[in-house]
Amino acid sequence: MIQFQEVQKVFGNRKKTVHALKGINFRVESGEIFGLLGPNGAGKTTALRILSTLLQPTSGEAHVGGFHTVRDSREVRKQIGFLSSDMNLSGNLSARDYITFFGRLNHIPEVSLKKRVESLLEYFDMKDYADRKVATYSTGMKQKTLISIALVHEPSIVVFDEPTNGLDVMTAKLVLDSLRELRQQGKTVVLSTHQMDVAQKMCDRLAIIDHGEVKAMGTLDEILSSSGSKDLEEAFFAVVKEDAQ
Amino acid sequence: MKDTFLILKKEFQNIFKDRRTLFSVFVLPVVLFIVIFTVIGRMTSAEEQKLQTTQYKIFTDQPLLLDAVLEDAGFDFMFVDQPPDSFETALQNREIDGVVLFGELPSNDPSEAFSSFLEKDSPSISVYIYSGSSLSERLGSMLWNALRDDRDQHLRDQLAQAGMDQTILERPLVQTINVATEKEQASGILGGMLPYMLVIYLFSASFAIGFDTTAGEKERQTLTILLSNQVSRTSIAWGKILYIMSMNLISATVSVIAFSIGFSRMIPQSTNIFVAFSPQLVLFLFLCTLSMSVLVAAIIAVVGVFSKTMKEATSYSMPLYIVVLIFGIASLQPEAFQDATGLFFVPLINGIITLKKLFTTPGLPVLGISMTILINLTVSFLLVMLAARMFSDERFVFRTEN
Repeated sequence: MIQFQEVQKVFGNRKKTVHALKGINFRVESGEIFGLLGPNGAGKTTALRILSTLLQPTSGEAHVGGFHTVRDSREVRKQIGFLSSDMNLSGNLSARDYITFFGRLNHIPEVSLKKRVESLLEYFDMKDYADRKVATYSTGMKQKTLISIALVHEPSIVVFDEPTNGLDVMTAKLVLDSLRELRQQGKTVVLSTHQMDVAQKMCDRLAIIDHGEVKAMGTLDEILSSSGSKDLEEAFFAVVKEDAQ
Repeated sequence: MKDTFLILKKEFQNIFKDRRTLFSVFVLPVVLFIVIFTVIGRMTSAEEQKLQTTQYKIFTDQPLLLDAVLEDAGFDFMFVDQPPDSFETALQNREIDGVVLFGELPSNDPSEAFSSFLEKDSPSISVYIYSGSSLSERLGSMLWNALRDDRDQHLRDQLAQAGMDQTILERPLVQTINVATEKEQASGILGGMLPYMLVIYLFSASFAIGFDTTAGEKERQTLTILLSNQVSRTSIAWGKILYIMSMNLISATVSVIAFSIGFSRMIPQSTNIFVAFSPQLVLFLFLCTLSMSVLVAAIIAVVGVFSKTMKEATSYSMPLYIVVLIFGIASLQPEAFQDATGLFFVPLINGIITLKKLFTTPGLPVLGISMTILINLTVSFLLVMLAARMFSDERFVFRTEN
C-alpha cells in the first residue's frame, strides 16, 4: 500500500520558488493500477520521485509498504521498481549486462538471476540485441531494457513515469500488456501519463493532478459521474478548465 | 562493500569494452613516449654527427695564423676569401659560421705569427658567432678551445725558455669528483621528473574518466537508475571513487614506465635510471602515489557530483590543477622544497614533495611519507563522505541542465 499525506514539494531558492506539489493526498491499494493523469508540469514526476525516494517532501509524509520514504529509503527502494521518463542508458554495456548488474545490486542469487534475465529478455522480445551495446539501441529498445531493469528483482510495487512516451505502437502495447500482467500477479502499479487512452484502458483508479494539486480522484466511473462527462478526455478538460478559471 | 565492488566491476566492464579509451590509456602513452624520445634521440645524434662532419666556413683577417692555430683542432674548416659587407648579416644569413679577427701582425712569417701577435702591446682576438645557428655556436666553442690551447702552449714555451717549471700553469690542479653512485645519479633524474609526471597523469586520467562517471552520468541521465535502486549512496560514492582511482593509477603507472623506457632509449649511453628502484623505494613510491590517487579521485568525485555537466566540472577543477601543476613544475628544480616542511601538511602538494625527497635525499623519508599518506587518506575519507551525502542530496543529483 502507498500513502501520500499532505505532501508538499517546493523547489528553488530565496529569489524564486516553485510549488510543485501543494499538499497532495492519495492512497494506492495493493494489487491495483493507479494512474496519475495530468498535463506537463502538473507535478506527476515530482510525486513519483518522492515515492521512489529520489526526492524528499518539503512537508507531509509518504509511505510505501509501511515504510517512510525518507527515514526508511533503502527499504522503500527494495520494494519498488522505478522507471522514469528522464532515465537513459548509454555506454558500452549491453541490455544483458545492465539487467544482470542491477539484479546483482538487488542481491538476487546468481542461479536465479540468470533465469530471471533470460525470461525478461524473452518476454520483452530483446534476445536479438541483448548482447549489443545499448548506445546502438533505438528508443523502444532502451525503454524495454529500462523496464527489465526495474522489474529484475520482482518488486511488489512498480512505479512507471510515462512508460509509453516516444514508443511505437507495438512496443507501447507490449509495455502496457506487461503492466496488466503485473497486476494479475498481485503487484501494485503506479503509473503517470498524459495519454487519456492509456489511463482509461489501464487504470483501476485515477487521480487528475494539475498545478500540484489533486483535482479529482476515484475509479473511471466515479470521475466521469462527478464531472458529468462522457469520457475521460472530457472529464480531464472539465477539471483542468475549472482550475484555470 | 559488495555493492561497491559491483559498481566498480560494472564501470570496468564498461571501460574495457571501449577500445578507444583502452587505446588512449594503455597504448597511446607507451607509443607516444617511445616514439617521441626515439625521434628526439635520433635527431640529437644526427645533429651531433652533422656538427662533427660539417666543414665550417670562417672568415679571418689572418688566414695563415688561424690555419696554424687550428692545425690540430680536430674539425674541418675552410676560409672565406672575400670579406663580407657586414659580419652580422653574413652570420645571420648563415653564409659564414664564424669570424676571427686578429688585427695587424708585426711579422708575416707563419711560424712566428702567433708569438709575434702576442708580443703586440695589447693583443686581442675577436671571435664573432651567431648563437641562432648551432653550427656557429659550436664553432665558437671550438675556436675558443683552440685559441686557448695555443696561448697555453706559447706560455709553456716561454716558461721553458726562461728555465721555469711548465707545470706552474697547472697549479693548483682543479678536479671535480662526483661521489654520487649510479643509483643516486639515476634518482636525481627521476626525482626531478617523476612528481611532475605523476601529477599530470593522475589528473589527466581522472578528468576524462572521473567526470564521465559522475557529471557525465548526470548529464546523460543515467545516474537516476542507480539511485533508485537499493544500493547505498556510500557504496555508489566508494564504487565511483575506487574506479577513478584505479584508472588514474593504471594510467600514471603505464605512463611513467613508458616515459622511463622512452627516456632510456633517447640517451642509451646515460645512467641506467632503473637502478634507482630498490624494493623499499618502489613500496613507498606506490603508497605515496596511492594516497595521492585516492585524493585526486575523491576531489574529482565531489566536483563531478556537484557540477551540472562535464564541461562545468572541468572548469571548476582547472584552478586546482594549475596550482598542483605549478608545484609539479617547481619540483623539476633540483634544490626545490629543501626546507618546505610546512607543505607536508598541505594535501596533494605533500605528495609531490615526498616523491621528490624519496628520490633525492639519502635514506627514506619515512616520517614525511607517513604524514603524506595519513593526511591524504584522511582528507580523502572526508571527501568520500561528502560525495556520499551529495549523492543523497537532490540539490546535487538533480542539478542538471535538463
